Amino acid sequence: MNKLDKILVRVQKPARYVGGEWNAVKKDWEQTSVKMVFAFPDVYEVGMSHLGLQILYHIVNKRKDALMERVFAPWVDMEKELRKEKMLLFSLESQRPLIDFDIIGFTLQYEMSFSNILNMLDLAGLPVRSAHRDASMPLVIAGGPCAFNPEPIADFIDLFVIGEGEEVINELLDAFRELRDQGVDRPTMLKQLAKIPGIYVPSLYTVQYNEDNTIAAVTPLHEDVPAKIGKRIVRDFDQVDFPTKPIVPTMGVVHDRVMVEVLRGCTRGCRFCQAGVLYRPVREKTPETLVRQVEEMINNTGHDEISLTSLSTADYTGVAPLVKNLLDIYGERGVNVSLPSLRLDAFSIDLAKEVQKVRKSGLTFAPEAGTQRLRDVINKNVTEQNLVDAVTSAFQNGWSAVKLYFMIGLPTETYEDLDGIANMAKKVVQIGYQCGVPKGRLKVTVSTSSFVPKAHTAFQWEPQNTLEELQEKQRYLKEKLRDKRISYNYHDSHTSFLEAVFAKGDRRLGAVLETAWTKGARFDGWSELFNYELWLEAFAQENIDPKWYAYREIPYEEVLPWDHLDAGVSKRFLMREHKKAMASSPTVDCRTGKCTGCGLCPTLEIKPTILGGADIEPIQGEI
Amino acid sequence: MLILSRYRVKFSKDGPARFSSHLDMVRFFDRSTRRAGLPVAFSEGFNPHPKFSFAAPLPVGIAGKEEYMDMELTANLSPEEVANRLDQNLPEGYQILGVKQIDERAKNLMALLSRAAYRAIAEAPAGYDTVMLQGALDEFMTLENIMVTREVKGKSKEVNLRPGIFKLAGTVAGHILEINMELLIGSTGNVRPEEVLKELFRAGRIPVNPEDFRICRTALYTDGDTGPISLWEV
Repeated sequence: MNKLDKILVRVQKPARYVGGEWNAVKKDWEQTSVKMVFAFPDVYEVGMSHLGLQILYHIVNKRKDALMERVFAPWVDMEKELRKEKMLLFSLESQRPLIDFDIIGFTLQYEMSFSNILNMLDLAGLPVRSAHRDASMPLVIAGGPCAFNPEPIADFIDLFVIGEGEEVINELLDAFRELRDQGVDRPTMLKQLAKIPGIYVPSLYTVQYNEDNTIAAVTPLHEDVPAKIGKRIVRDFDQVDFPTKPIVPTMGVVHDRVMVEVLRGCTRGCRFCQAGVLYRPVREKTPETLVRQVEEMINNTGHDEISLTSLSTADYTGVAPLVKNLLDIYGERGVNVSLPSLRLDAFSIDLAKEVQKVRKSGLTFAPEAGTQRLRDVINKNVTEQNLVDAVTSAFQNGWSAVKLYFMIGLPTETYEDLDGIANMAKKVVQIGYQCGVPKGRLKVTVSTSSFVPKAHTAFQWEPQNTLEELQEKQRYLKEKLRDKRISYNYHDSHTSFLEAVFAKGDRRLGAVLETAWTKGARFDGWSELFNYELWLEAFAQENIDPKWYAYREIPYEEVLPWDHLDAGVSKRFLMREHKKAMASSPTVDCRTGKCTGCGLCPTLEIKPTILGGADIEPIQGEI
Repeated sequence: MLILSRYRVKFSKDGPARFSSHLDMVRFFDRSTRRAGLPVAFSEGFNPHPKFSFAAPLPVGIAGKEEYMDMELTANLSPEEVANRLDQNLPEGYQILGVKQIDERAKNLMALLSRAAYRAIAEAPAGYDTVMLQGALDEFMTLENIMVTREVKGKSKEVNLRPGIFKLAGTVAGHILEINMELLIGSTGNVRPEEVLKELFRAGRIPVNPEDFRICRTALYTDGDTGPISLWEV
């Protein structure tokens, strides 16, 4: 009996570590030139719900000369066993140690998974700092939304991919293969790879600081290294390679269904939303492409649910006919269609009604803020009337429970806005009664998360509320929402604080991260494992004040730690949006045909792809 | 009128599949039958589910050499076709060993089930042999009571394993120690192979830690007129 078998009977959910899923790809190791492992810094159930993994897995494994396997963060029980038995972290497909691969690619979905990256490198038997690794060790790369401010983990990652991975990965693998076969050393390889657009090699830049701790400049160390790195984007989104044979997980995962990406990007322009900037411009697939992809995916997986994913699926131009068409085809086969993100309007209710024919689930609305004033500040273009109409329609159509999602601690928020949240919740309860929902069944759930200012958004200069302020607001709302028909949930504010520190952090945080990890920080996004005290110790030990990162109002002139990374939207546009926010002045959606001048389209020489809809003529030049 | 055909499926579960829970396995079969295009019958009601029924769940980590499930289809396909289509659509570690059509009113698997055979294999310590092992097992079988404590919903409960241990035999061949057991399983009670190994080890009757055994369920039986018969022969 081998060591692994022995370990597996001792850990929770061993299926996390064995692979063997339907559609998993096992290639001939000896016959494949470039070996890459996709590393997801969270557990299997979370990682396998991530579409990006499936996309890259498909694209790399399609190549004859390359293979991609998978590894997820081992849960703490598995980590203990691996360390006890002196076993190195291994991939699922071939159960080979990570050090046997050429490239380890991490995805950066969430700041709170950073400690897991260090832990996985260490479990792989690698030095965590890239400066201590050489050409005999795997190249450690990372991409995903947090790569747009990767500075806190710049010391640990050899290179970052800025933008959409499927656009860059093949170029990167080609270049890697050539350089490796030439036998170049690590610094030479990195210098060459840095020439690929969208590739950021942090070790090729130096950061100078001012006396007040702010950044003076981020400068390339060599002439031929770009001063600014732009993001890569897929131009023909309709025809881009999409995995219609995704891996079907062996165990229950967070999103256990077929995911079809109907569009990428979002034009709404909520001022707190980082994804809305990073994934611009909006690009829709044609219904023909979608129907074909769904057909292939259902046949190839046997899943009984199709999720139409995007940042805002109800915005898809032909959403109603598409949903109807899919339900006509698949409803009879017992296959459900789900729309994970619906906007708060009556149109969405009609859609929800359609998709609930097969199976009924809950309804969630996200007004985000309690008053019209604050919704104008954040540019969430929904009104109280939208909410009233939507919940009325929901209650009339048989729903008895709705969830309302809000953010607290948004810029300019006052207690009147919190009262607004409570009033909205009570109003929804009243509407429920009026619509005849039976007393015992009526339930309104209010969830609040705390605002986290994020890089590349109009609110990047804004301070976060202090822990005390957030906790006081949560207490206030709890009191206001004391009603047995309403239940109130809120996120831990300590996690939100740390998220803000790292979301707006710079390279000096690398030392804190390493110290916290050494002290035992793991799975910081999991409340049962998050240890705030340990993080405070790490900050104290490295002599860094986390409050300075989260609570400071940053002047426009200041150099931001991520200024050398370009998400395509101009900084002047973000400033203008910030000023408009402070004046409670909304900005229209460019989907209406009116360009908002964010600067992305002219800079990246691209236009939004909106089917049969508005032809948006981007404003040229700086405005 | 809707045609309903009932099939008994014999399969094995090993390799990575060994680590799947029973619930995960039910889901596999749901997806596998859909990929295979088999017209599975669904239950009525609010949340329809495929009409599958399994013999006793296999604990996570234990392989199965002869596991069983019954499934109902809304068409009358040949058992060979069902077997072929299923076999081509099962994930790694599963293999279809046989499919046969059974009477629609046949007793269900769980009601039939009465005993299970297990094989546990481990590395034998140097100098240990079959005579020593079998002697210890025979002695164990002479006990009238083998009391163990089980946790049931947070409460401790005393259970006597002895009536549920039907056979216990062991061999040592080279460095391989093998124990074969036939234990009670089904609606009247259960004895788990790990429990037996644990008791043997605790009482100093075997020299190997129960965790170091690799266990496999080799057969499932029902009570026949003249003794146990395989579920496949019913």
